Amino acid sequence: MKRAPLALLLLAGTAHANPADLFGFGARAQAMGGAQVAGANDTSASYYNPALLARSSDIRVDIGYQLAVPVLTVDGHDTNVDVSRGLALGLAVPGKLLGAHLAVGAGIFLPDQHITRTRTLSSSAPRFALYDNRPQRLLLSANIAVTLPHGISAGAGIAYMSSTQGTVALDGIVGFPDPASSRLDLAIDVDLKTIRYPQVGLAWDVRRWLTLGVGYRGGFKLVLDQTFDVTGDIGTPGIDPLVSNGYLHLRTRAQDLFQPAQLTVGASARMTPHWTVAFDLAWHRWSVFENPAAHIDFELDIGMFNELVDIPPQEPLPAPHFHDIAVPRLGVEYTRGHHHWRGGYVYEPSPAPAQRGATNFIDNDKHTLSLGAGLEKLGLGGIVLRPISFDVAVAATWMPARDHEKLVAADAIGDYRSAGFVLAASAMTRWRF
Amino acid sequence: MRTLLWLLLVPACGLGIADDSSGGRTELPGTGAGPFARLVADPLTPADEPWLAIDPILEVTEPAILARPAGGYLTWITQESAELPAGDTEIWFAELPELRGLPLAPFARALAAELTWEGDRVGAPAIVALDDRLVMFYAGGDDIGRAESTDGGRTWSKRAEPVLRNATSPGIAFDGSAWVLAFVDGRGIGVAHSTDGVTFTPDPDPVITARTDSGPKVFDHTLVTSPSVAWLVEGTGRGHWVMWYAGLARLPASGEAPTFAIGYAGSFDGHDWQRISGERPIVAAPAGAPAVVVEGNHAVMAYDALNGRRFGVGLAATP
Repeated sequence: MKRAPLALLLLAGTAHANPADLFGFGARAQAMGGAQVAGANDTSASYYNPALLARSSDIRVDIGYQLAVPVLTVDGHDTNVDVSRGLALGLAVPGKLLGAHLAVGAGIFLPDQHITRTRTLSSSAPRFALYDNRPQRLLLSANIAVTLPHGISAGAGIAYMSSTQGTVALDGIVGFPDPASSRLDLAIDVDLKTIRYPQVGLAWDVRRWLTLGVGYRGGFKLVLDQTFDVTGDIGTPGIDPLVSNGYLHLRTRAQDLFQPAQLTVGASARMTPHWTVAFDLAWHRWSVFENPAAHIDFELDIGMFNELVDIPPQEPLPAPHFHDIAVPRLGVEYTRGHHHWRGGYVYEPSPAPAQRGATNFIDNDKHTLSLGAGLEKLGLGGIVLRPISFDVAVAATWMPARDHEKLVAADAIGDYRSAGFVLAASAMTRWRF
Repeated sequence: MRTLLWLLLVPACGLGIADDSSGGRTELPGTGAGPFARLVADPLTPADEPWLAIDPILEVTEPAILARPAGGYLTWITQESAELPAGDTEIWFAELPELRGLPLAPFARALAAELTWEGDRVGAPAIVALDDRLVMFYAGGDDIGRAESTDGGRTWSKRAEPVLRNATSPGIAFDGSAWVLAFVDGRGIGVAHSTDGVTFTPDPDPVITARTDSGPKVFDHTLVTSPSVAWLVEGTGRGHWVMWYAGLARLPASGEAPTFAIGYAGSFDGHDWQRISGERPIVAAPAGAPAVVVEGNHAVMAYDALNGRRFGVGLAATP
């Protein structure tokens, strides 16, 4: 029997977290650079800080569409990373329980191309690690928030993802020397298993004009676990087999998706009746990111033919050496009557080091400037008595050029320069009942 | 109001803009280390994939390839001639307008053995394109000679004396100021250096040798030969030397042809060379005598391979 737990193909899962991490959730939040842990005033609180859901006394339904177009280049060539686009939907319902004001809320980002995408690449294949699978992901979270004394509110929730486990089994006789005489029964067993991760938040109205907030979003990783089994005899049906009870077992386990734990503190200040300023500082725990290359367990027993099979030795996976990052976010909002103008800035340093070794998990620092506008209209349709808000936002992310110079001259990928630009936009309506 | 609701709900039903295939894997960098795929026969093209040149009677081997200024490739092969005794070879030339096309004209003689030191054969061309001319290094007799062409590689004027003695199978690269000439001698693959392209100083020891200590499954366990070198400047502006070479795992049995495979090495300074990691070749056997042209993120390789009982020259390319 040959047994080789090996990184045979060094397949690597890519991509991390979800589209809201990259492009924001909701038009108002996107326009304000995502500085919303103390400043969210709509259902985007389901994503930024569930505690803020308790602030609303109305039933709220927000619905919109988000789009992000990346132009990510290596050596000046566009790598054609996929556009991310989909429906953003939020719901918040207030209520009372034992005299306390509470609210439940949900947030959904439903991509209209890929509900989820799983792709494994060879360990050394260059890819923009944070933009590959990451934006192609369904986001679903459910939260509950409660108002506490002294202007404090607290919220918590669970977000859902799915991981894939599957087995393909073939059982019977493998025809030899005539493969066409094979008789194999096929069984496929694939599960999409739910992965949950927590998110909690606190908000405190220190003054009428000042709110502080803190939010925590749990980290997680999704594992793609696939097994392929072939069992049976090898030979010609009807006569004694050349190999009895031979088998092939192949199992691949790849880290398909990784989201770092995130802790965010922030403040939102209404400086004047017209001006609101929000600032967030987030810590993202990328240092626990593991090499997402697939581990492949391979077992083979084909009797007399075992010696003909040459299985390469196991190669250790190089560590990715990602590091934690701090992400500052600044947002401003100017309100005049029923009109709002917004702007924001985000600096997100790359958690990935320059790719000088065997891995090619490309990433760059990111500077994002955003702008947006909102309009509130009263009494539309005669059914919705509360104002309806229409919001739009556009955000431009610039990724300055970064050189990756290899330590080994015989590297198959060699040196390269990565850079990029991402244009994101969203439009949303916010309804209150 | 209803129109607005429709506009918002349509994407909710997954009816967004037309679907795309998964992207993010185009125009990725590479250094000519593959993955190479031999051209697959395509009845819709005029070419006889994967072959660049074959002959039912004569051996066709040891190619050279350059990018053609007008598009396509300039190709040279080492070929036996029906007019010469068996084993004597010449260098022939053809222009290929596209990878899967036929030559503009049939292969024609470009260089023949004429000088005393060349003996009865010239072959294994290695060519560098300068601004105003092509410079060829070639094997003749037991030495390496140099020739220049100002008509795009059709005709050549030779130097009277070889530039490197007791060496064969040249590979040549020029970085704008320094020349690196790879060659084969009895010890393995060596390199010689020059600033004028004429006077070369060999390094004392070979830079790539057979990995006799690594076991017979290593593709270059028994022999290394046929180096081809290039100077690559990458996206960061830094350059380095790269080498493709043929390796032989085991000597062929009597009457069998050797089954070479193609390996890869690199060097920052031209003196210290490192093989690509692992014990496997970048192009599996049977493939030998590589010649590679790297254009941006893509590469095309011409190589020796058996065509029936004779060697021919095939083509492979990266995606």
